[in-house]
Amino acid sequence: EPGDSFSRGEEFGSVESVKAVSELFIPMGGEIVEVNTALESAPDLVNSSPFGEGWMLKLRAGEPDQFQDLLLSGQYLNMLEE
Amino acid sequence: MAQETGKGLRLVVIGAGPGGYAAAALAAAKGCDTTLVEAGALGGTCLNTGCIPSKILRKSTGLFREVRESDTFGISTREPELDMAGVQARKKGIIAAQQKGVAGLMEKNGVKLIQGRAALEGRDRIRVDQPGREGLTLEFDRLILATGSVPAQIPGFPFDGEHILSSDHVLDLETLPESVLIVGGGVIGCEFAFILNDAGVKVTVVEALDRVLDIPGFDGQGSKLIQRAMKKRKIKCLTSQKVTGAVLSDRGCRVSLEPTNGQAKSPAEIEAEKVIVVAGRQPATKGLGLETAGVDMDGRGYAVVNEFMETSVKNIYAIGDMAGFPKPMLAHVATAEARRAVSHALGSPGPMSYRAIPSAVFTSPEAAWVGITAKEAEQAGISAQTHTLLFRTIGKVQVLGELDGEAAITADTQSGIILGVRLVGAHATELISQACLAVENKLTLDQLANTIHAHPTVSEVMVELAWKATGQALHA
Repeated sequence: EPGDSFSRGEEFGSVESVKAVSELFIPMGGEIVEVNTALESAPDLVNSSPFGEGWMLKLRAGEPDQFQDLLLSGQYLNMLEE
Repeated sequence: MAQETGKGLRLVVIGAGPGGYAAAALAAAKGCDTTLVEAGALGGTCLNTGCIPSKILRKSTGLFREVRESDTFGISTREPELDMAGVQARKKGIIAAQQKGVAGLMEKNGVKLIQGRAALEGRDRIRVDQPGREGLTLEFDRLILATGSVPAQIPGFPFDGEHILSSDHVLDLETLPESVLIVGGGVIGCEFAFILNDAGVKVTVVEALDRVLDIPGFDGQGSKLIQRAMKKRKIKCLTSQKVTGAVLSDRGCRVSLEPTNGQAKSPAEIEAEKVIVVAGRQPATKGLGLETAGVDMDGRGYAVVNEFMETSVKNIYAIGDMAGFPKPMLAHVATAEARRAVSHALGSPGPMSYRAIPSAVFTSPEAAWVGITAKEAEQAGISAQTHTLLFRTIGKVQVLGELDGEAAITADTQSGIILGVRLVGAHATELISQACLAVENKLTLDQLANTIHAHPTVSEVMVELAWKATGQALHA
């Protein structure tokens, strides 16, 4: 919820599918500024538009240095191919 | 097998709850001259202010939610209404019928029933004060104490039935408050949270420990699943916080909170129309005359007993909640202990075993467990492994539309003997008894895996879990 603070790696929620439940871990520490409430009624947006309308939350970064440790989507896909 | 015969033995039982009335019936059936003394209503806490009424409320509010959400199942209704007066009327009817049953059982077994408040006058006699009559003295050869427990008050929150409610008050509600703060995330607190939330009440739970249901046999993952379910229902759950005081007004209650783990948190205050304090129960041993007879109690007033339910005084036994802590304070424990106490009283002692006591929590999803967790096994020096399986992998669960939940089984790494099962999911409270059978009889994962389970049922989660644990998973 907006106002909640998390440290990097903390669980901030979970996604559920028909067959599985997965925990969601926050990639960097900070304070939640906004949550995408559209997902409550249309959770499949996470599948259809993960980089667009399926956004989950907006985070005010706690430690900007932590950005260095994150991968862009292209970098991640390359990593998977290796 | 030694013939137990109570012929000629004068046996008195104090307290007609699930422990007491069972002890009385069993003793009388073995030929004892049995008297059962009860100061209040037959059936004790279980029937009057516990198990039965709480599940009656659960059924009604749970059904209310199901009806509101029935469009998923192709059913359309007008906006349904929940009539608490109707729920209370049903409750009273069921309780009255069950009480008649207890009275009938006593009569059938020839148990003399006395309505009155008993107190020990020595090691072989009790005094009973009866309303509007002469008190009487009863001598006994054997005495079984089963006076149970009552809701415990916490400092700063005296029960008034108006702003600060005990579980007794909640079970009597004829109208629902708009919002409640539930102090205590144990079994009663969690059940009330879901019951009231289903009825449309805004619920906040505050728990001093770092998880709800922090009870032996129930692991952290289990608590997490329940807390996740609370979050989905918009039940606010504040852990690692305790209540420090309340300001009451006709608008409601303003309760101040303090962290218990040294980490300051918001909010520091919660407002709710009513506060429900379910942070524990205490033994009903005050005024019982235990000191007079020399029956030892611990610092909190619980009678101290051995594995045969004997107290420090020969021929005096104590069972159920009044001798509970640190054993589970459950109705079925009291009934099992009644059996042990009577056996010993009649000369055929058998120790009470707490190895396979099930716990059942009527939340949504339900939680139930028996035996030990992997962590507890490790602490006991047993090499054990836990396997888990999501309830939603089972076909019947998809059919019911109650996807939440996970089953966990812990078994000895060497022998495969099942040491514990923890269930969170649909019908967990019914499924757990099969696990009790396994733990009680030291069945192995292989034996469970080789037991055919009917399809399509939720119980298949057990056999699928056993298959997974023995490396022969089919669907998992």
